[in-house]
Amino acid sequence: MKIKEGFVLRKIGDKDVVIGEGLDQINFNKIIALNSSAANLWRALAIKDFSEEDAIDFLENYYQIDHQIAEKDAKAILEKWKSVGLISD
Amino acid sequence: MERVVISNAVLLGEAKRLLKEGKKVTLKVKGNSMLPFLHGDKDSVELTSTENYEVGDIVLAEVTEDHYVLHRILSIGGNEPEATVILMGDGNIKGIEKCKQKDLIGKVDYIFKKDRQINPNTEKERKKAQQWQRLRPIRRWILAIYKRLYRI
Repeated sequence: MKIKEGFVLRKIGDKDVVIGEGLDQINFNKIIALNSSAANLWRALAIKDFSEEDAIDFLENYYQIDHQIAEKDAKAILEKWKSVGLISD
Repeated sequence: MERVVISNAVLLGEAKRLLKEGKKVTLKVKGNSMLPFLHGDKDSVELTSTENYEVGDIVLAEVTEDHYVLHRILSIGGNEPEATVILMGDGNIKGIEKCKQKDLIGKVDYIFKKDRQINPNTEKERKKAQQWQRLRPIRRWILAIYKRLYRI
């Protein structure tokens, strides 16, 4: 899967948010807040095609957590992203 | 997904930065001070930066530090940074804002309504706004009826 083109992670105030941006256009109506682990995952994955496994591996290594917990968290985050149309298969 | 609230000062501060970079910024209108042309929490506007502002433009202005309004230019003393600008909300009965040309951050080039988009800078739209200006003495009553009709 892949993060759809046009979504950019920015910091607004102290919050990590994803904003829908065209070439020269920024739409503040399409703004999605990410918690810190989701934001880190985004930073790690935004540049390339990735699989659910990549996301699980990243969380497991980055936060030094159990595989099962990483799997649960990664699945939850990706599910959310999918539901709001941030990623495509 | 949870709704996250970002304060106006922070969000519009970011909008200001992006407009300065030459980007266009779309955001939802808050409040009803621009009725009947803009409905708060329903309509969105696209802002663009410009160096030439004129009377009748709907602009985002930082009237005092971190305090922003999206109102219409009532008068402007030129396009030099220190020129005085008077703003007023179309939906306000009284009360103006005074700032300088350099405090103007961007101008509305499109209004997005539920089912259509409007360019407020066409002759037709500007005329509508001028006619509305002339009704200022009786705005209070028109707005009261309007708000009741639209349940605002």
